[in-house]
Amino acid sequence: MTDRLALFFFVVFPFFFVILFRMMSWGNVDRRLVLHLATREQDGLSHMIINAIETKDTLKLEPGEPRIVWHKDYKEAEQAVLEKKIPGILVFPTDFTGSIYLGYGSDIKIMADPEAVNTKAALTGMARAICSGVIAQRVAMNAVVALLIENEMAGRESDDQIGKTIQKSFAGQADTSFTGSYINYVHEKVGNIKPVNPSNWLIPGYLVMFVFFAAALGAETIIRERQNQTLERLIASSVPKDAIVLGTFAGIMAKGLVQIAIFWLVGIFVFKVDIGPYPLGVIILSLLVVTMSAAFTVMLATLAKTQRSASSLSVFAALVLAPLGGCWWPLFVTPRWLQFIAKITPHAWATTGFNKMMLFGAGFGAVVPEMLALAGFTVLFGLVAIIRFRTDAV
Amino acid sequence: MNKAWLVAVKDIRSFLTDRADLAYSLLLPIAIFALLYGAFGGHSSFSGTAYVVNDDAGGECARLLIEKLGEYKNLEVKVLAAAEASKKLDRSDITMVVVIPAGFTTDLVSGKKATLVFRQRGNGGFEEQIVANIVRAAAEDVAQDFRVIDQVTKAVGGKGITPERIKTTVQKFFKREKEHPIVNVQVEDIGSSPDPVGSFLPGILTMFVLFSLSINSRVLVEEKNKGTLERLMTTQLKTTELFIGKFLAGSGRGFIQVGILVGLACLVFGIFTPLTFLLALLISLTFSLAAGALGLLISSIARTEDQAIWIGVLATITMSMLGGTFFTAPEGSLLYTLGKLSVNTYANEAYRSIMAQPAILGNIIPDLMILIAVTVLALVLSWLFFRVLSKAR
Repeated sequence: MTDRLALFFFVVFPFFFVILFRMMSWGNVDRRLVLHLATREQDGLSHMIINAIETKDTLKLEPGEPRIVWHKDYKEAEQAVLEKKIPGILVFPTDFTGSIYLGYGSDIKIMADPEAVNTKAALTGMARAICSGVIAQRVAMNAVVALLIENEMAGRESDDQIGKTIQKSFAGQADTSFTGSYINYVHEKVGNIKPVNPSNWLIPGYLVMFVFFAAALGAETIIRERQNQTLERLIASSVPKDAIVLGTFAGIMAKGLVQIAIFWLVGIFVFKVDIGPYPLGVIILSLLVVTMSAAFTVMLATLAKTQRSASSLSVFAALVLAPLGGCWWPLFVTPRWLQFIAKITPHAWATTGFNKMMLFGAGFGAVVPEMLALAGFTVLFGLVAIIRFRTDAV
Repeated sequence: MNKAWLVAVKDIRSFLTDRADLAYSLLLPIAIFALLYGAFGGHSSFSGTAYVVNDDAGGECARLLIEKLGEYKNLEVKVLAAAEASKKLDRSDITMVVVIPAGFTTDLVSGKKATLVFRQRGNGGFEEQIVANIVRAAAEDVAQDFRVIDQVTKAVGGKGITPERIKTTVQKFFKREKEHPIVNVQVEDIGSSPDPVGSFLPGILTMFVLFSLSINSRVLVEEKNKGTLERLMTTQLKTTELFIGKFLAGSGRGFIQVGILVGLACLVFGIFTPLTFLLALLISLTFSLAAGALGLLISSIARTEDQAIWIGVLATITMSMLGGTFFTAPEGSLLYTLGKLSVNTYANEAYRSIMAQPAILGNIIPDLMILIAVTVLALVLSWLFFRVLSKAR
């Protein structure tokens, strides 16, 4: 605490990153979905389908309804995807109509930029809906023909009547297949989307990282005291070993408490962080992070032999656990297997708990597993520390 | 100058024999690179959550719809109570909820038009609009049976065909279509694939070299504070020789570290030709000189070991973030301009230049010149502080 420059760095420095990240543009998260379609046929079923779903007047679109754009020139559209002007396109093949009506089968193709995962998902959803409509129409036609032929065989229909019925059915279904749905989709707007405040996930992430980092660097101080025999002198003056461990632990905790108090005060009043509907849960989680970090520090001090190795180990631990545990980016943007592996770190439990409460409005009960995990890590680190704690210099 | 080399060789030997330090210098960047590659380097897929309120409890079609949504890969379905969904929407904890109203099943079964409500904030959010797209596709699937039965009934109405016969026939044809669908969806990636090695490797290399050297600056501060340097001054070692020796030690250490990592990258990913490998070593050497000079500057400024560590961490992470290690700032933005102040920017650009295209030395000369200029400037500044502190003793 007397090293004011170091104190300045470990308290103020993390906010520098928050400011840096806030300077990044996060894009318009509520921009309307735009889907691009094209066909390689000159005419036919694909034209009918696209015509039915194309957005003719964007002003009439309901909130949340995607804008459907028909690219009349397929080659131009493909080039636009290659040049990354549009992320992807849904394409009907050349022989789509013939293949469907003759029963050979066909494929609707989604051509997209490899990185455009959202576009691929959106176009695939649309393509599936189209497939569903085409299949439904085919089933209806086949069923009508089958039933009418059955009727003819039973003598209730003539060939001429069957032909007229089928023709009428074709015309009727063409009208209803892709404009009519048996479901009415209603979009009810309850308000606007609040602008993204990246501080809501940055502050907790950096809080976890820097509280842990600052605490871990404290291991070096403990080893220094061990090496210059300060600890041994304390033992000689009848201070119990447990009291030394607890005292050391309490000192590191006090530093951490100062850090989290500053983090949250600055976060709430300067960066307008929303700590969610259950502030008590956030406070408890923060206290558990401090306690866990202090226990880790004392454990590290018993494992490292020299100041230099303590410093290296603490930096190593801090810089591997932080990104793995979701301090640099939210864990929910990473693949599920990585989120699973991250659970070996206390950081992952801490950041997940904070994100649940602050980003997703989860209740206190929802973060009990995270709190228990952090308590578990504290107990584990503490037990190792107590068992290994020694006062002899190396 | 011989003595400067001796000081440098001693420190480098100390680094090479300290297995922990060596492991940390090599393992940490490998671990972080693996993390970044695992998190962001693969072919990721869309992942979303559909929040559903089911007011048609007991309704078969509602159940089917939720079941169909659950079959979609990477779509998580969470069924919420109406009150909870409203609360979350009010707080913007979620931006869209799909409401299956009471009577959904009854309407569909009786041939009437059913309703599906999307309660949302604004457009619902970009990812939620994709979820809505998926929900519509699933809903159309569920409604399709009833729709077709209704159409067939209308087509063959008045011909004495029973509803049961119509239903059986329709179901038979649907079953056939499910087994051999007449139309399928095919997804094709076109255009260049992302190159995670080219994206992340340069940034990780530069970040950890700078990190090692700036953290190691604490050692020089420790030596100053313990009086080790003072004892060296009582020998015939001049301050200049000590200064140059420490600079060469730091740069040499950095070059060894990045050289090994570049070599490993070459072996594992095969990203360098013999010529580009040599150019990569040249970039590594130039960057190590700049990083060594910056490390020396930090140790000249810092009064305590804690200060040295914190300044080192601050400098490294700031330069790495501005230099494009984790993300590239859009051209013209403030972050892009600030990035010009980071040494990592120039080294990363040079590495990417030789990895992405045929190696042309001329392409990387401007970046190397800037790194050399930074080296000279940092050395001048650190000499100024270094000398002052030595005189104060």
